[in-house]
Amino acid sequence: MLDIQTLIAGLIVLGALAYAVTLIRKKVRAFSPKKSCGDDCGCGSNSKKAVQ
Amino acid sequence: MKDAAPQPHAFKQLNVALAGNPNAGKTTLFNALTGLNQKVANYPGVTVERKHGVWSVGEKEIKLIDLPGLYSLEATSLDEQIASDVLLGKIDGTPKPDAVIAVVDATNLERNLYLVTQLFEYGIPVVVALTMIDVFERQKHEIDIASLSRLLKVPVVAVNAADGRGAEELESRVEEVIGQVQTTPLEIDADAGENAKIFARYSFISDAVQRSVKHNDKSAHDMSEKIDKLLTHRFFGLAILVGVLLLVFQSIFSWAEVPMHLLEQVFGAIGDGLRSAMPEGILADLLVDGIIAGVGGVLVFLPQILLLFLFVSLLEDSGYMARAAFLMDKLMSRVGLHGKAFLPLMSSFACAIPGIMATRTIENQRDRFATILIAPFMSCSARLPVYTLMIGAFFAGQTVFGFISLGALLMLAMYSIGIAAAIIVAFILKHTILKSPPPPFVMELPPYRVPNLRTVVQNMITRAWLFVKRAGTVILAISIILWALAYFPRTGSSPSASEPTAAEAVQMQNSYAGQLGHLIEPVIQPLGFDWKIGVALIASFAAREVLVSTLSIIYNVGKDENEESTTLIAAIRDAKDSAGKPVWTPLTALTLMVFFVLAMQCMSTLAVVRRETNSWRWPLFMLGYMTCLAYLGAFLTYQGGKLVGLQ
Repeated sequence: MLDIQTLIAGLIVLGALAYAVTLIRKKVRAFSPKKSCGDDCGCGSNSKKAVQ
Repeated sequence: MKDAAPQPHAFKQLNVALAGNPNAGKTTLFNALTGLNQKVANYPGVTVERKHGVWSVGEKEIKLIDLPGLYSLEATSLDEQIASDVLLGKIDGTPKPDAVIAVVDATNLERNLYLVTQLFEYGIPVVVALTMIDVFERQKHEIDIASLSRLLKVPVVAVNAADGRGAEELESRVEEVIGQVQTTPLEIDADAGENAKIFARYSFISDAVQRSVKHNDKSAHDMSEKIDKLLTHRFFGLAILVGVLLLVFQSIFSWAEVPMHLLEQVFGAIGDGLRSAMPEGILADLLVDGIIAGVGGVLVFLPQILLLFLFVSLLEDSGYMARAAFLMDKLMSRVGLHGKAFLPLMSSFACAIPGIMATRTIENQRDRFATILIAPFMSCSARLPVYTLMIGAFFAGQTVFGFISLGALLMLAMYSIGIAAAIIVAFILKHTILKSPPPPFVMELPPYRVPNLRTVVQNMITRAWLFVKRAGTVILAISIILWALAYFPRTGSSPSASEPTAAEAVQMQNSYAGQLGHLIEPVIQPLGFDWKIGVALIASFAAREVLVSTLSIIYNVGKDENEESTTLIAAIRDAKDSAGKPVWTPLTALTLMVFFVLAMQCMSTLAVVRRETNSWRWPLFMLGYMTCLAYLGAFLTYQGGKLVGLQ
């Protein structure tokens, strides 16, 4: 049977894992360009012309 | 009440934009008006995206928008485009500003007023805020503000963010102009060509400035030019730059020593206190070996981070950094890199993320991408704990020529290796996949000034807070996960009284982290790294400073439980392999430092590159080539070092 120490430690580890997963998901979402960019996301169409 | 007659603007959110040339003082004014703390520095191109804040004017709350600097409404780069689009109301969801505070550098009126004359033509209500007025007055120039206001036909207010001068007048002037239709004092034929329009604007400005300003003193300019001649001299300038950097690193090491030692003792005492207060078991192990060792191991570097940003802020705010940029531009243009690349690269010494975002000032996309791809070579502040740990463990207290600290020299060498790698890679990129002719570059050298104490302290606090926040969030989470990976599965052989250390070592080897480390050990063995360093290398992909917390956890979990807490430096110095040979040598430390200079060990940077390039191709390319380069660099350092007899 789980003692109280193991239970608390397990919860802390699970919390850390959940935080890490949330953080990764948040980062990917925040840094993905939206469909209607061209504002200040850095991928504006103006600069693309220079490469062509 | 619903049936009350609507008051003008009572129901509408008012938007006021701050616009002006780069380095005119927009963000300083923005911070003063909103009470926010956006990054400011004494060089152009610091703000590359719009920032919002609430400006309380009387009973109204105005949305104040700080824009990137621009010289004219005809934008040539992405940051200028953002500013221009906001001013002209071209951005969906962002209405055209109800008024614009045109931030004009009083020491450079002619050039700064050009944008103002363009704003007149678009009918945007304008209030001119004259900044740098203190510098202007110190140079003993005189300005008739009333006359300038009459000539421009707009309110002109002299402001000083440091002492609050002009803030109230600015408020009332902005309130007055909102709702008015701006007329232009210029007489420009609508059918005239673009060149004729430019000529007409400059003629008007020249006349207005001549009639309202008296330039009395030339000596301040002469002195500035004399200093510039020395600081931007191809030989003396470079020697001064090296000297300044050495002094900075040496100071960081010597001044941070005492507070770092104190912090180590504090975290050690907390760990020991917890260990003795709690019953033995998994929770005590997690708190002491995982959380305190992991987070505390990184937090002890806080004094060095504070000192690094003290010096960076002083150099930025005094105007010296811009001279260093000018000096490096010659080298940059030789490898085909845009001169504007240096400022984003300079920002990357703090963190690659703002550096990469600052590449928006570069007009050509190929030049911009080349700069993005080399920005992570600049040694960011997250590498500082790694360098310091290695230097502290193996090179501390040693001097060269009796007075130059070996640690400071090594630190300078690491920064230099990063710059050299960036230049070589830029050369290759600019002559292969990102080929384009380098455009001419004119850089504006900001005036020298005594660093503003508020700006310096604010920059230090902001960076220190980011560091502490990271330690309390990302590093805390990773520390807990790593501790679990190093703690489980339990082997069942509890440490015996006679052989406690051996039992812990067996447990560590068989843990998930141990298995992972052993899996990659054959790959990293040629670099002189063992499996424990391997685990730390994998973990530090999340953030570079995680290397320190991981080593701290690994050496704590693997430690004899009866042993008192020792510092991480002592633990890695004493670490032995199964044959009883030291795991770490000065050569291993040097190799690890070289690996960290060149490796792309930062998840956040990759995410920003993804956003800024709008593709996964570039961040993956960056990760691939930088990892290969780091491996090669570390391999050559270790094997080369062994060949010449280094240990």
